[in-house]
Amino acid sequence: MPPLPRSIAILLLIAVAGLATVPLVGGRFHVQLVTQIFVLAVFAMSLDLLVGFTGLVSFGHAAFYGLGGYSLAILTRDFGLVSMGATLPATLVVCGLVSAAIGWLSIRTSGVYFIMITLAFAQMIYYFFNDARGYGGSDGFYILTKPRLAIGDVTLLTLQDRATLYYMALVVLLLTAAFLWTLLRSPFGQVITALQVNEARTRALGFPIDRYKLVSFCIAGILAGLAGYLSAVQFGYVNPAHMGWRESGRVLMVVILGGSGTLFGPVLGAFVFVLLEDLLSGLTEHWLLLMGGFVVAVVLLLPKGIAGLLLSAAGRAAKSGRSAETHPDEQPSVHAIPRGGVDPILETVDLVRQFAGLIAVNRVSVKFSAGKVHAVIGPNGAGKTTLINMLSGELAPTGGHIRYKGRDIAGWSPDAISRLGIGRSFQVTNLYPSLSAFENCRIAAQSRLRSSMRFFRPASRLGAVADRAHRALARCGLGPRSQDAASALSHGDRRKLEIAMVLATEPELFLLDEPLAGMGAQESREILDLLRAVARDHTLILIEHDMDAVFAIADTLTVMVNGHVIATGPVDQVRADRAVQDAYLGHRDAAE
Amino acid sequence: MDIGTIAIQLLNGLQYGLLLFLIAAGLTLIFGILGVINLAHGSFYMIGAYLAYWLSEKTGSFALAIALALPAALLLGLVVERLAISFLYQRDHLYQVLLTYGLILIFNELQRIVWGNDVHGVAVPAILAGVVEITESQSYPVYRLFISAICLLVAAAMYVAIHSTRIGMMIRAGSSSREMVQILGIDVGRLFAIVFSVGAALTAVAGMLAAPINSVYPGMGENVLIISFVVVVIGGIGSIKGAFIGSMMIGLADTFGRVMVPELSSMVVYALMAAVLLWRPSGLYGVKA
Repeated sequence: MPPLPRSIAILLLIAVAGLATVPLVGGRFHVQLVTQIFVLAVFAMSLDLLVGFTGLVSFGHAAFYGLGGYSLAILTRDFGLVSMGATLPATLVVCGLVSAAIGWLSIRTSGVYFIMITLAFAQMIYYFFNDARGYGGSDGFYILTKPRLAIGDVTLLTLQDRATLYYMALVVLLLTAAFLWTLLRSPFGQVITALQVNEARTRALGFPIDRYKLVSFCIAGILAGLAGYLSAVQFGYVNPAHMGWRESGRVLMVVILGGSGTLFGPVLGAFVFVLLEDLLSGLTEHWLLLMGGFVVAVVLLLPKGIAGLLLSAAGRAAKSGRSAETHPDEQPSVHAIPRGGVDPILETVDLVRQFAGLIAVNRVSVKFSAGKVHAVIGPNGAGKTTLINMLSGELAPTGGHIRYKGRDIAGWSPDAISRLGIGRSFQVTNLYPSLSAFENCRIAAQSRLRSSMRFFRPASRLGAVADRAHRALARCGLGPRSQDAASALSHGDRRKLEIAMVLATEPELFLLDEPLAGMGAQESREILDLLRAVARDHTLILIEHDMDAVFAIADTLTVMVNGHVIATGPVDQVRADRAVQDAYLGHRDAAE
Repeated sequence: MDIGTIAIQLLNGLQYGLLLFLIAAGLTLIFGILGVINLAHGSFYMIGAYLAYWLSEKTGSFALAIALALPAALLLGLVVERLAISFLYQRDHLYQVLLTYGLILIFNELQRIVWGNDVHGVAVPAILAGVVEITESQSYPVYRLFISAICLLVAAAMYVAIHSTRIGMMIRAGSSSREMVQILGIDVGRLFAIVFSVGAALTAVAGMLAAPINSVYPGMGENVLIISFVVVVIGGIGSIKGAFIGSMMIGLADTFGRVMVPELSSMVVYALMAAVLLWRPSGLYGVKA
């Protein structure tokens, strides 16, 4: 997450100070209205963690909000609990468990299906309470005694009091913001932001992305429950409408209006939205018409929300005073990895992949020795990329075995394979465009931590990870460009960055899918030199169409035609093979 | 349950499913071809129902009301596509959800301004008002059979149109690969406008047909919207065949759920959807997520 421009930070601080005085100067109505805004802001921030930072658009987020309220109401009425020390933790646990269950089921889907499945689960919960007569059905029911915080006989807080509730909501809002801010800078936060930008890349780097999505979903669910708890305290009753899809749509609107992907955006959105609702409903009975028009206008005119507007204004003001940063340690260092003594390091046995009627890879058995450069060549449609995708776990084989150091890894997930020490680059360069070259490599290096489920320490303080990222960049000649955004790099540098990222994961085996595709002559030479250097301490398996490059770098050659391997062995031997000359090399010569 | 009850529930389930199919078919085509999640789809259902009520009051004839409402619905679909939806192509689903959410608010409020908050009934046309004897003590309304017949006719007409007309071919091409249609030089703008407007009209027809049995009330579009989303997602986005199977599943599950587990009936369809998505994360006939 980019740091907040100073001008905006100062404005926010002044705003908080001003808000702290509202109960002293404002009337009953204002105190209630602003409390309502604080609660909505917490709710909206929780959704933004999903929508703006994890890339999961949930259309059922109100379910957890409603659940927070119902769980307080039920604990109070049926269990006689009035202590906040009991009801609040219990409520958060309930919301956490329910969101874990729903999240675990939902994250298997993506895109529109995720939007719809979260909606479906929310509607199930909605109807459960709507039809449950014991809980008042569609009318809901009242919370007659509001929570208190007491030690022994001394009552510290009673949320019955309007001003107390106001300050409590303000504190919860600030704590939530601080918590999310810390979270997003932590290793965990870096991973969820990365997977939002590029899911396939993140998985290929070795992160079990479903687990990260699930944790994010649970945190969001718990925070929404917290907001729901406060809202139920404020209004003194719960109603199934609070968990319906309209409420989910409303909070989504607040996030977008404010600006998703920022923390202060949803807070601003909550202010504008509630004040606008208040203003419009005073104007006319048919204020929803105006509200609808406003929503449409925001989508068409303000896609990045109010926060986007402010950030670009602040960015223009700050631009003049900033200079380019450079990074100190860029000495290349030898990237030595102990080489496993197993030979062959990787082996496929009767590997098959079938797509509907087509057999893309047909009983392929090849051995790849450690420490060598292996090239896989063949005409288009020979099954080379399918083969690599099976080796890296992107595709599950239909049949056969893949043995890495003797262990059968066929059908493993890409992240598990990456963690074993098999890295890959993609045919189309696959990066995080909005992050700097250094940050790209840092995420990659971070994947080698035992777990990035660390929530509080900033990722930037992981010294060893940063060192590894710098080493990988330097090795690929990108040291001077480490602070440039990946999207600003040239085509060749982007390819080098992708190689640097894979190096930062410290693989033993490196899979490269057409590393020279689309490169000019000079760029090709540079990449080739780089690959030669990488090959000194890695095993390489590469697919390549450029024959001169293949002959220049490869130790062994595997030729595929129509899903079959027709020859495999040392380069010279395969070049001399009659069948290969007829089927492939000869055909190529004729074509050129 | 005796045979008669089962037969009646079966007919009810099929009739409900077929009506859902009219709505879901438009929705899935708009998803599949335009790439737009249209939350305002349910509003066309509501508008169809209100037009049927209002025009049959004015003209005194339900048939005449439908004849007038149908072109009005087509036109409305066209206007909405040009003024709002056409800005959403290529935009993130998130914004589509929001803009069409805004449209719902607008349509709902316009409905209140024009027709008020009352619930209205629409008389079943006299010619269809009879019942069919199922057993000695049980009977089934002719009008419901009529609805099923009309829906089946429309479904058949859609099948023929999609499989043997030029525009149908474009629709088939478009629902399997949207980019391809654009590359092939087809006038995408016109195709999109037609698909949206026809989808809206189909939904409005469903609203008109349902008006005499379900009555006409504010907010009636939303329940139907959510259910038809469930249908589309079960069937797989963009698949008409999937929408048909999904409609039947939901129609029957909902109807029998009400009879067999009344206290959980509203949850049954959502549980069914969740189960299908867990089994096939892209729906029954979906291409990919």
